[in-house]
Amino acid sequence: MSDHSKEIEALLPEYVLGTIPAEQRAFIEEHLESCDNCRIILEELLEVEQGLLHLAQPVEPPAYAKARLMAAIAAESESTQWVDRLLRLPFARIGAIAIVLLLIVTNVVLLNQTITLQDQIESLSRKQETNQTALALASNPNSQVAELQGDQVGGTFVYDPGVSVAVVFVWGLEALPSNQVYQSWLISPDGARTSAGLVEANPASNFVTFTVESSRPLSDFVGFGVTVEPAGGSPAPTGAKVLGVDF
Amino acid sequence: MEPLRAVATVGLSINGIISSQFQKPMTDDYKLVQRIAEGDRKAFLSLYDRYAAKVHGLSLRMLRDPHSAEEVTQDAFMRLWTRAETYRANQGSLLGWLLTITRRLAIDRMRQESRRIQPSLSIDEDWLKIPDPGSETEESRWRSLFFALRDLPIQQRLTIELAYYQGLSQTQIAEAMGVPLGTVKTRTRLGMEKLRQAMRENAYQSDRSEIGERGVG
Ligand SMILES: [Zn+2]
Repeated sequence: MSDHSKEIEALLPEYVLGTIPAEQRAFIEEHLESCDNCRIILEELLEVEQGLLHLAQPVEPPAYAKARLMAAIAAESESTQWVDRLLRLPFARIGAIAIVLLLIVTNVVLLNQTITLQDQIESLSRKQETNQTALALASNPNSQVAELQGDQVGGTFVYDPGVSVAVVFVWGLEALPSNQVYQSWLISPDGARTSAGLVEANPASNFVTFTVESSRPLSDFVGFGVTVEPAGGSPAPTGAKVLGVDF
Repeated sequence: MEPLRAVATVGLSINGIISSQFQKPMTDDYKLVQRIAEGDRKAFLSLYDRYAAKVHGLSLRMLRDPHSAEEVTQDAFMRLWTRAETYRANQGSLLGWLLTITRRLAIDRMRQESRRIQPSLSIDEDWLKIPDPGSETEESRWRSLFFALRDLPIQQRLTIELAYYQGLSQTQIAEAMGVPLGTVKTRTRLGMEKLRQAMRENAYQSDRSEIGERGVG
């Protein structure tokens, strides 16, 4: 134990809490290199520091926060792949660029207040820009999130009731044999099912994002579901329901 | 036209992941992180369902504002998504890694918003959770710390909380509490020393859990 130990020991709590001035920090770190005793105390204090992180009462974030996060990572992955192809750089080096691009795209979408949200969402959707539609919807304060429930399958259905487009995130859909296909349905109050399109499972990630478009606002419907149908789809559901939600 | 309502409350649990979250060993976390590094969104969702409440609880505790806390929670999980390959199992648990990121993001945010100007000077017991003694994961390790923190003299506890959860410097704490800087430094040192001893001896854990059980029964 060197001469400084008493002095250093007194500073270690502040060092661990991150409130120590920079010049003292260097002094402490130099001492720690040569003093086992102070290093042990530091390790114990770091244990306290870690523990303080764990004491907060857990609070579930709201469901829309999850949908927004999934929209952001879907968009992030897509821009990553796009930039990746363009620049042929390894994935890890692209992450930062992709996030910047994502932020630019998001801000352009959000800040462009000259056209209505409905126009924005529907025009993005027409252009097959699923992820940007998703971001626009997920960032829209009027958007609602319905959690889709199934057996080993789940998802979120993000929509604004006044708009005729929704974005659906589904995870856990297994690939189907080639003579079968997933088909999505919007359910009317009288029980009628309107096809909302075929859904292709993604065997690589088990994760699918798609947009649902209707000729009417989604507030005209009372539910949404996904069934297994013969290849090519059906005019009305015939197969097993894998996912569903009542609005 | 019937408006759609109450759909966000349909359910929080996906495939029962939440109910089993505390039984999952850490090695499972590590496997999931490796899959996330390869772009596996299902693995990402599993970890989100497992830890979102812990991360969000800390964000809320630090920022005391639901909107800011939601953004910090999202940013923390975006880090997990984009930086999963930087996590090393020997750095400690994944939850610890996530919470460390969360705290850093929350402090950055407080500084941006200059909300440190109005620190909260009261001790709020509601934010504390007694770590579960039966848990086989790391949670039970923090029980002695919980009781030690709760039993600290209030000024020592407040000093530590202002520094750690609100990111205040010792000078700012001195100003906020209206005491000399030397007093703040002494309180920090004494308080942290008690917490360190408590963790070290784990004395609180056995004593208090007995009292707790008697109290319940
Ligand atoms: Zn020393």
